[in-house]
Amino acid sequence: MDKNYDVIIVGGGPAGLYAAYKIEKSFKVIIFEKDDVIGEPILCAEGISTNTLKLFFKDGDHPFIRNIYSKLKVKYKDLEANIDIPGRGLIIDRSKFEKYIANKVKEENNFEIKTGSFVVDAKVENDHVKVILENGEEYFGKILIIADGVESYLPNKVGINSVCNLVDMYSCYQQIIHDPNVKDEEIIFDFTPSVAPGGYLWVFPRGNNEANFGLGITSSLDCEKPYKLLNEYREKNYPNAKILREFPGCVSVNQLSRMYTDRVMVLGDSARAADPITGGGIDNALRR
Amino acid sequence: MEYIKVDKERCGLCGGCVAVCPAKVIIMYKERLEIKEGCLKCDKCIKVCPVGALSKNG
Repeated sequence: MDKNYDVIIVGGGPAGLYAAYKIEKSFKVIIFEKDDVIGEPILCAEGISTNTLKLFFKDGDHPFIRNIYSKLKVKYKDLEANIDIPGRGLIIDRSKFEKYIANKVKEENNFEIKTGSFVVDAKVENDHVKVILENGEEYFGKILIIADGVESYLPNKVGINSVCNLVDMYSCYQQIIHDPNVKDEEIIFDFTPSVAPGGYLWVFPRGNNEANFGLGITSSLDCEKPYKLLNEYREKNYPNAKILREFPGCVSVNQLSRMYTDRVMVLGDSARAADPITGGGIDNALRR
Repeated sequence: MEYIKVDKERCGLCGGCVAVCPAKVIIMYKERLEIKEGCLKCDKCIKVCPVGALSKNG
């Protein structure tokens, strides 16, 4: 089997998939995804704006939209602001979103997506880049795109330092909750320092009184762990909430000062490109 | 004995520890975290973990 490609992409999330989608169809492209299926596991609050979506997917159905909300509530201590934002905010089904882009990549571009394939090493050699999978297989590309998320460690293999400082990192915890007090039309951000030191708490409405309910703290601060802070807040504010799923997450927001080197580009969360205000990663993953 | 201990039940494989590790000795495989030799004992991974899955051994 020929293992030579024009472009090798590591990571089948929004950044890697969208980058693939934008590559001219005549090129020979392969995407390696560590997990066995595209769109799993999802560690994400799933918020993007209508404007972002329009930038990237203008036409056709958007089967991955969970909910469109129209009100924004921002809290800080005992202060509160309520703003109408009709039709501006979206909560997506991130799993369906990734599958949607993956289908385009496969069907429109005819590129190969190889799941269950963990790239453990990369080397820039004279006129190509070599990547090595966990099982020892080697692949060669003219260009390498690294887009394998916050846990990426490939940039360091090709001479790009991507070690993240604790002050540039948010430690997060999220629960998907069902509670009659969750309003489907309203998104909530709570910046009260005692609630989420150095970060904020979010309630992103998924529809049907469900929410992506989570918080992130600045990782360098000495305080309780996010899962404890979140449980305290939930017990106080959503005492009857049913927890459907829960998981941790980390968001790094200090974009790499150098996102490229010879024959290599770094994208999305692996480039630390999440928005430093919101911590949102999808938007910048698509943009860069 | 390894310096860092991973509580596999607690770890949610979010990858924060991999991102902050200055020695780049933590690798997140599909279903497990592995800490290779070369740990600098800086404790940043313990600090970043949202669920307290990492701790000092002993």
